[in-house]
Amino acid sequence: MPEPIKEVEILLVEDNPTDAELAIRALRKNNCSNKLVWAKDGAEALDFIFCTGAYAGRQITNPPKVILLDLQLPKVSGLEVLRRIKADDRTKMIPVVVLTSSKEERDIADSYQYGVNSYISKPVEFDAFHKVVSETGLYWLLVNHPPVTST
Amino acid sequence: MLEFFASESFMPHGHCFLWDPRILWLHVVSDLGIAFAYFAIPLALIYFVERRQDFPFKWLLVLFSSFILLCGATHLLGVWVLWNPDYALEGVVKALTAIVSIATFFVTVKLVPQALELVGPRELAKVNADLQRNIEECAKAQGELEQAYAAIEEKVKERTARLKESREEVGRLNEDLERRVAERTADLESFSYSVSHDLRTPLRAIEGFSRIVMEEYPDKLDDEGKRLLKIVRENVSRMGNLIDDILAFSRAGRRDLSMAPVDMDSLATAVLEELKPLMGARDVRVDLGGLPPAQGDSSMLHQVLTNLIENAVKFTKNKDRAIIDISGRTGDNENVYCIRDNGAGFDMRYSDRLFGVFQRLHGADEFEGAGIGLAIIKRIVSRHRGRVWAEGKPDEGATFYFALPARKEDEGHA
Repeated sequence: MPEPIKEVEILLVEDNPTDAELAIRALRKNNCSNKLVWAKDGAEALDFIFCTGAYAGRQITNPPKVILLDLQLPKVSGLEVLRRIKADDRTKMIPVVVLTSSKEERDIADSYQYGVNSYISKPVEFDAFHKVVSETGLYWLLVNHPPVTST
Repeated sequence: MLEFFASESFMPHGHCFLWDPRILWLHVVSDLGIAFAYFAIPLALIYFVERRQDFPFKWLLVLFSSFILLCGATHLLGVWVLWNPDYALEGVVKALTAIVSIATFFVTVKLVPQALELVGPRELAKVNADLQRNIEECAKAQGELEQAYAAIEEKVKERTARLKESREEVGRLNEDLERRVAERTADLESFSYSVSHDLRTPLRAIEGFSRIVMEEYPDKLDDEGKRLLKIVRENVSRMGNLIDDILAFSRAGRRDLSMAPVDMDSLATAVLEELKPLMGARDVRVDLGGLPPAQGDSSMLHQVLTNLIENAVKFTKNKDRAIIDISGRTGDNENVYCIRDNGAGFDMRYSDRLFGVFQRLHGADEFEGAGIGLAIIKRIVSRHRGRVWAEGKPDEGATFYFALPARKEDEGHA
């Protein structure tokens, strides 16, 4: 049962629990992990974003500040999640950052085709990974101006 | 007198012919017959000469014809003078005939040896028969030749067809091979990708969580616990290096060579500059010079020099003063490069294992490294059609050689 967080800042979509935990810990470094929801597959991510299923009680007018999206996901792929977000007027303004192991040109091109806001390859070294993830959190939560300021 | 001559009883030269008219007419008829024959024969001869332009004694025949013609004339005159006493004319014609006859005689005598040289009809017939036989033999031989030719042509056709089939087969096999190579290459690509990502992801977790434990539970870990965790992290790091090395080894065999002239002296200088941090404050004397230029892939040769010089630096770390000598010599067929050090060296008994993958001659605690550097060198040098070898003695140093084919001036950028 997801925790009822009213104002979610980060939606992390990641099927690998180890990677998810390392990412959350890296985000915590800059106090970016307080208002974070972790979705374990593409279907759960879509439920959260479109306020269906387990997240039916959420308001779609209250989107996260950023979505960190892996591409290799069970059930619904990351690219499909991205496509659905960007195809819907209610959600297309949400910044989506692809955070994946894939460096394949096809994935990069497809992501930008669907309107991704940023594409980041997960560094394989722990130090670099830690740095990239914490800086990404810092940037999208504190440096970047979000499109909608909901109160 | 006239009456006498005109009378039926008159007979010319009656006295000579015993007054027998039969003798007179025998002479007349015989002379006329001879004359006719003597006039006819030259005609036949002239006809013969006309038809046989190649007859060698043509002018003799002309002489012969005149002589016979004149003989005919004397016989005709013989009849004439029976009734008309033109003995002078007959004498002149006889004299002419004599002259021509004698001339013909001399000419004939003179020509006899030549005429004897001429091939006689019988011989000609024999020659003709021989020729005929030859012609028949030739015809037979030609028939046989034609048969043989037809047989050869048949064989050529057959072979050509078989060759075509073989070529098509080779083409099919080649296509098949190329497809399989492409498949293998694709497999290898995805294997490399999988090695570099899927094997590293768990490593990242091990490294990450070990560090988290160290950072978040420092007071709960005693020194032994911290030491053990440190070993875990060191091995993670070693595993990471191993993966790097395997990928480097795989790349060394896979990447296309881009061949160009390479200034080995400046390449070695650049490598030494890059390796300076590795030498740190150690006392290392490097002698470099006289490396012949090479024809090869610059970045791969850079890797070769890096691995060899790095080894030299690494294996001299226990010496007070390290001496590294980098030299080369030009040969007829190959240029030899040589990196000598005064380091730990090795036992020549194990020299064949030096260039194997993951072969180490020293303990991991003595000298770091996965044991793949020399294997990479061997792979790169082999791909340049060169060779590698080494000499060494424990504690006295090692010398590593690699030889690359000498660049031939006329080969251009082959």
